[in-house]
Amino acid sequence: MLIGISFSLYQCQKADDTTIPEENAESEIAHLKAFNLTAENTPSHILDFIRTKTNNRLSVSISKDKIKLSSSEANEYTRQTPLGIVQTNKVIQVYNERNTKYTFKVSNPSNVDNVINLIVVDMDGDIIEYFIQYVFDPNIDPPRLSSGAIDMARFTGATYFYDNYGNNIGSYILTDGSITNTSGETNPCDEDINDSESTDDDENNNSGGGAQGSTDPNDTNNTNDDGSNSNSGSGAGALDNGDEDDCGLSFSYQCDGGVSGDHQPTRNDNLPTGQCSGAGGQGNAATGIIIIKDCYGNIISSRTSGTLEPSPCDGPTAVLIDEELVSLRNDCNKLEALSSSPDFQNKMEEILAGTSGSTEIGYYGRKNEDGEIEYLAEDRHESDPDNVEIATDPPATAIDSDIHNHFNDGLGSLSVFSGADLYTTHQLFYYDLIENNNQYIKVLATPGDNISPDDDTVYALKIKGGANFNDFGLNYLNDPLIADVYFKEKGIVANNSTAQQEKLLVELLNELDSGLVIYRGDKNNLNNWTQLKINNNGNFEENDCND
Amino acid sequence: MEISRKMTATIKTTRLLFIIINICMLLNCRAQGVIGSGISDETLQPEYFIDDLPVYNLGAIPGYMTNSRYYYIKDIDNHHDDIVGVWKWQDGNDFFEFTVEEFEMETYYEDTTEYHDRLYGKYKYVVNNNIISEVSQIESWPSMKLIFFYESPTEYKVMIKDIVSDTHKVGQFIFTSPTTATMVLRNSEGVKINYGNGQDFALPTNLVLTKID
Repeated sequence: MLIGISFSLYQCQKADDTTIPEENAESEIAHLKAFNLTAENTPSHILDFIRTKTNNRLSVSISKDKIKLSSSEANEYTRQTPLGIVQTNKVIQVYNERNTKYTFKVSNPSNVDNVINLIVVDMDGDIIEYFIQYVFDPNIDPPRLSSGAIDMARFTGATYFYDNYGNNIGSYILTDGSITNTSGETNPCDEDINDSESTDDDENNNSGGGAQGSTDPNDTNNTNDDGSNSNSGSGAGALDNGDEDDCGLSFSYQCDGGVSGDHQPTRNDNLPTGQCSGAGGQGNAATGIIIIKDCYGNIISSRTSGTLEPSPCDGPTAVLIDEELVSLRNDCNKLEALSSSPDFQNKMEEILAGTSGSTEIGYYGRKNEDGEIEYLAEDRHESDPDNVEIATDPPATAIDSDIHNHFNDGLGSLSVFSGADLYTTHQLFYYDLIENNNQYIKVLATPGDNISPDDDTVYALKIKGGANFNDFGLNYLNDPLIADVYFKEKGIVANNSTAQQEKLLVELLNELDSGLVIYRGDKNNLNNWTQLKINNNGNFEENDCND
Repeated sequence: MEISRKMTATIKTTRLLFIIINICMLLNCRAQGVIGSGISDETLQPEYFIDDLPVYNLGAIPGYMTNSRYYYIKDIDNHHDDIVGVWKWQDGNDFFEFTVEEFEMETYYEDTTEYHDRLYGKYKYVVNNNIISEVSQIESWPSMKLIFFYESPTEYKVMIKDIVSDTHKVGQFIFTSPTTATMVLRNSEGVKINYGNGQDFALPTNLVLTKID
């Protein structure tokens, strides 16, 4: 599963010193290093710390105002409070002169729209933990980079901080990456670090368990990797990905506009990690961004920083987000919103009826003033009778959606999107005839296995990664003939079953990094959608939006 | 570029060795990048291997293979010999003639390792001694104008690009005897925008053909 990796700066101290206003200046990162770790090379004492505090269960209790490591199976607050699990397969390590931070992702059964990160801070052997929770605004599509990764630099939602006692101590509200509101405290670390550890709850009396495991002591010494930070003076560095990925990640800092009313953030050489700082604002300070790039120069993710008072665990913190899960929830929300649109329901009745007719019917759709998609009569197109092709004009203006049907002309019909359907989607994309790639939804109704109306199918297609879709389109969709040849040779043909066509199409889109995602609908209930995907094990997988 | 129907044994061997060497190099580079078929319970078994390259018979679907990005679908039983040659429909001074050749171990792009024995062709359409449409050179992926796909010993799927309208149709080529066949074309399925130049499809769409060479 794709994991988005980004960094946040919860340190930039409130600036008492004078800085020179300067937009978009690069700041230095004097001694920042960051590494991408697996469970095998995460330092054993860090894993031991978590295991000890959770009685070897790696569990996290999650309630409204409290998130903390938990040693018991039954939650100590309420039986209804679910237990998350600390994911140890992917860890991001970031360190500076004063501490080393390890970011773990926590599974969150209580709300998949939320991302919870466990941060374990190691200060020369003194270890504490705290949690940061990211709540995406369900009404805002996460902005994406051209790679398809969520652009955390433009995160819209709330960030909640939970101290090492598990208490919710404060939050940020961000809109498009800018902090619009703060409340409470956002410094998760107690000033007196030694006290914080010893006064933790009763759970910590369970000292059983300890390390079981598979940690590699040799890898605790990642600090020896000087090469990763050879260019730190320029505000850039590299992430060590170990053996997992021969495509190295690199990062750079960029200071940008701070909170409204503050001075512009700039490089601040006085900060230990050379991060951005504001200059005498009214309580709020400046923001900065760490930009993560892969070896091809693609930006993978980025994160707006905030500021906190100096604390024992200051410095940058990585963010681990389950990007695919966030994308799934977001797509599902959009599909459900589309499905509840009266005009969509109305036109889909016609489209579904068309699967047993003798023409293909289609509409372009655009959002109206209320944000609902409408499919107007002037955007309707229909094939000649018994013609399975609609050759039509491009839309006059950019669209938000299109819908059409296939029908069986006696020679069979594809149960899924055809090569021509994908070709046209790429044409819309390529010629900027899609209003917003993240919002665009293409819907298709087909006769399914061509046996009876009961096996009619409905599918939706979404663009997940514009850059990937562009590359896929230029190679395989620049002519409908090429798309048809490829579909034929990959077995996506009418005489295969609907189930076979589904799998083969999803596999094809996955193999070619198409940047496209397919959802299966339910013709009897257009609110039911299921994502079809190939998982990391190479197996076909269905993810129900209603789960 | 037009090549002969069957390569000589020497050329075949040389090319095969070259490709296999490249495959080995590619494998080293993409050891973790290959995603196999998601349909594990229906995995196809190769007929044999050329070094480590799995070889399958015509009609095999890559999605059912162990590795759907690394295979060779080969005309093991020489079915293509039946359709390779020159086919002609004639009505008075009007005729439509096409030539089919086999290209061995064709792939999509240089960096792909999905090999097919493919059938590409060229054609000429004449009405009242006037050439309506002609493709005089056989071109391969991605510039092909005529391509056939084996479906059974007596049936092939055909896709043909009309250079007059710059559109294509798909259809079935069905043997009615070893030297005669029918070919019926129709549009391919789906919505198309920015396709073609506005002219009508110029080629005949319902043909009775005779193999003349």
